[in-house]
Amino acid sequence: MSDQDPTIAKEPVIDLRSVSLNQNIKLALLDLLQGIKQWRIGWKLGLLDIKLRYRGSILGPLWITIIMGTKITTIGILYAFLLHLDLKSYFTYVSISIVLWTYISSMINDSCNIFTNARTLILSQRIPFSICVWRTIFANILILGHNLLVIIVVFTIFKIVPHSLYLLLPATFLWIMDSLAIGILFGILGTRFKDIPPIISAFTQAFFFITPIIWKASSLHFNSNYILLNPFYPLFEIVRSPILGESLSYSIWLAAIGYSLILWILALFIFSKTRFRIPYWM
Amino acid sequence: MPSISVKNLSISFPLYHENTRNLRKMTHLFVSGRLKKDEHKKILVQSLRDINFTLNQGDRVGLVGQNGAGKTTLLRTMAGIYEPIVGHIRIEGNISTLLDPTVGMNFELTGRENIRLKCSINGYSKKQTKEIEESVAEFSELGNYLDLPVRTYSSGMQLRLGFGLTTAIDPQILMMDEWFLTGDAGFILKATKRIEQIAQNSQILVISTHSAEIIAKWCNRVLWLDQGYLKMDGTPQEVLPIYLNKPYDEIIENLKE
Repeated sequence: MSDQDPTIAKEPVIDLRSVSLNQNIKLALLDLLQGIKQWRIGWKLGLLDIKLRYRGSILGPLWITIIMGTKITTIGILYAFLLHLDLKSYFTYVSISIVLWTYISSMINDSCNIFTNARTLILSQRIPFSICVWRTIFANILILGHNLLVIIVVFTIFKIVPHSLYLLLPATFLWIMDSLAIGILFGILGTRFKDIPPIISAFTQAFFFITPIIWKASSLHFNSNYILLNPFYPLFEIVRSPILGESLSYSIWLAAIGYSLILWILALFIFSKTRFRIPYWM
Repeated sequence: MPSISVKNLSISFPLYHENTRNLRKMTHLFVSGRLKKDEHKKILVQSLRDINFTLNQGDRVGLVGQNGAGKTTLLRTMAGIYEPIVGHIRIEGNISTLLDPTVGMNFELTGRENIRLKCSINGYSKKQTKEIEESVAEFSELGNYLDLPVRTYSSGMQLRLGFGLTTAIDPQILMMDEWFLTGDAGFILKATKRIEQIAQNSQILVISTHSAEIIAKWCNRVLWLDQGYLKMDGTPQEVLPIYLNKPYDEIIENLKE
């Protein structure tokens, strides 16, 4: 047979057969590539998800901003007072941290249902699975966009100018790559095992407290290097430090990249092994 | 030239009951070293078994068989949704599928939004999308309903929208389940006309059905699935008499009445 290259829906030829793991990795990468090529579909789906959520409401997606504003104001004032911290520095720190945390925790929790929610779409025609992941990523980025308004307001009130913003570029890239890996990994696990969503939800809850989000790493009484064991910490630092103008050591970037690599290897392995199984589990 | 070739195709569904769907029991199995053993004893539902056939241009195929014979699974496999774990399938040509009345629609979105979404998923250009929108609006006769959420539609309206949408562009390969025959008489007439038109232009048509009428009218080939096996593959004159246990003349006779 001359047709050694299995291709995907858009092309006029679809050639499917049971293949080796090696081939499956190729197919998984092809799926990811198609998902990036067709990012517009993911964007459209994500945008519609958000629009639908607020259709018929008077303030619409502005509610996202209002809820976040309330949350940050409460935590910012309360803890600055309780812990005797400088209001200005704590408030700015907390506003960034909580907005980031909201993104990452809802990304993780939404991930568990990425494929189960797209059931009718997946069973009605052949599409790259990564499109469903991009849908969730875009929906969460849209929410993040609304929450950024709160940070802008906080920065204006306290007259703070963000420091080196160019460092945010690689950080954003890493965050998006990680979101993709998280979506694939937890999406598949959540489709296969019904216990995964509540487990994940419990873990993210716990990580909210053990990650320096509402408290600062500098307030630790022990060697703060241990904190690098928490995979969320370096991810937060690479975004927070450039904005707040704090110095960032290489080890933090190294840890962030290292954790991302581990995440990607896991995601790619599971995706290659089980990609074709997803419709069977529906 | 469109074609579908299926070789030694088997599709089986792993049945995940409590033991494998539950992490606690899986962990227990893993710790006690029984995971591998149970893995091999995993219950599989054989949906299709060792199927072989080739469809070529001009084939209008009726897929018959009892409920649970694997018709929908075969259609989904031919649409590239289920990838075979055993066997090989090769599909040439663009496919359009009408596998369930909702055709992957989002019920919260309006009819028009669903049309646009489907078009962008299929990678149609703006111009094509506009044409499809017009064609669907005309076919479905939904009028202003097109701008209301699909969940407010009656099932007949959903059906008209879904059908109009999937058949708006002449696909090279059209696969459908027989649900489209559930509408009212007016719709069936319209749908029939449209299918006939598509059947003429297109190239490969596969209909899963229980109705001898549809087969006699549109099909020149019948695939008979029985418990996942391909029991017979031939012309309607060959297969229908055995499938229905009646002489072919009698089947045709009944239709004329």
